[in-house]
Amino acid sequence: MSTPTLEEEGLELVLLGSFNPRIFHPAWFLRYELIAEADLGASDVQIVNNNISQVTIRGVQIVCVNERFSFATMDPSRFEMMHDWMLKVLALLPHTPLTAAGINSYVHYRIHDKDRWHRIGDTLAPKTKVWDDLFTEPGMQSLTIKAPGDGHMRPEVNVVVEPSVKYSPGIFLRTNYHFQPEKAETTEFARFITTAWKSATAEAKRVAASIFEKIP
Amino acid sequence: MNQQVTTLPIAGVLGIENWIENQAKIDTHRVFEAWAVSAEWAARLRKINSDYSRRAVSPTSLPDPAEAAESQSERFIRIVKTRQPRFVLLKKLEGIVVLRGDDFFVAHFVENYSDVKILEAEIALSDIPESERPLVVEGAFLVWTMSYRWEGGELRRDSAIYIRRLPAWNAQEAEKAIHAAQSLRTSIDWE
Repeated sequence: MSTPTLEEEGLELVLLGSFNPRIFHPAWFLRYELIAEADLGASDVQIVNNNISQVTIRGVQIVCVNERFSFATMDPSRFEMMHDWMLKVLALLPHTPLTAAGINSYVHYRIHDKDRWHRIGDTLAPKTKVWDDLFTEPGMQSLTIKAPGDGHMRPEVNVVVEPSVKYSPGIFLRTNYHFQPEKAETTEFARFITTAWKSATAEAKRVAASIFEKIP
Repeated sequence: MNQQVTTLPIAGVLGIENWIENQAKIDTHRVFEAWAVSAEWAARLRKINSDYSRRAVSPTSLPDPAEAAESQSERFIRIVKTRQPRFVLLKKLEGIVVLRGDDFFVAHFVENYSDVKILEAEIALSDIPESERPLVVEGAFLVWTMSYRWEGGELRRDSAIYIRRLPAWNAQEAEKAIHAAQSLRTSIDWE
């Protein structure tokens, strides 16, 4: 039995609230010493105005659209940098009205054995009871699992499993730690990011490992 | 985060497609020089926005492209992006600087914080970007990653050291850490 291979992974940190997109320019990151002068020239400013900001600095894409602010990267060597930037942003903008935060990880695995790939889909979404009688060759296209949070530090966890559209046969797995506290202070969000960091960033891999272990 | 992760369909998420359409009509080149947004694009954004409003997993999750075929329809964003490199992490070590010399530093690394085995490494300062060298002080946290990087047909093994920019501890956090350490010390039977 061949082992599935990890082909790609990424991470996204999201804040929901009320933001001023215009400030999220590389010059702002330089001013507060999140990046160095050399990074300023190497950064890619796609658009920055009152409504949208989309820039890429050191392999991290920063997107702000009034109510949604996010850092995203496909480079695992940048994960901790994103974490530090997010804490710094929260510290620099303590009066930003925030409503929720999310830590989203994703992975693409190539499954070398097509039978096993089908077996994973059939185990996660069995076809025999309902679907086989209704359709010819039904297949799992997307599966979502939600685990509720406790309203405090334990976040809601959402998991999505799909066939990978990049690596065939393969699976794409995405997890979302969704934190929506009653007390929406920036310090609470910083605490969530710090405490949930290790598990949230490894969650997609953990779920994938469990699937591969239980569905040989 | 969806499967086409190179960029996010930001406009679609928040329903600002009308604004984009208007901007495109006013002055496409000024506002969306890079994106080349047109009325046709705004229509695509409107469709994606409608797709997303149907099936968000949670507000902080990227609105869910439940069907792979639909997520592939988001390729419009990729038109303006060159293909990005792909990475696979091989090893990640977290560490702390224990000694800083004139042209080198010594750091202790662990793979997991529960590891008993500590790896000690002497690293030349020339391995750190010049702008980050002032951050290399005793007690500074750092992360050392090794990964494969595919770019086009080329495969490279990357090694990167990132000096962390963690916020300074406040008095309350320091007090809490001291208290935790004291509590741990008293709970151990030292003999």
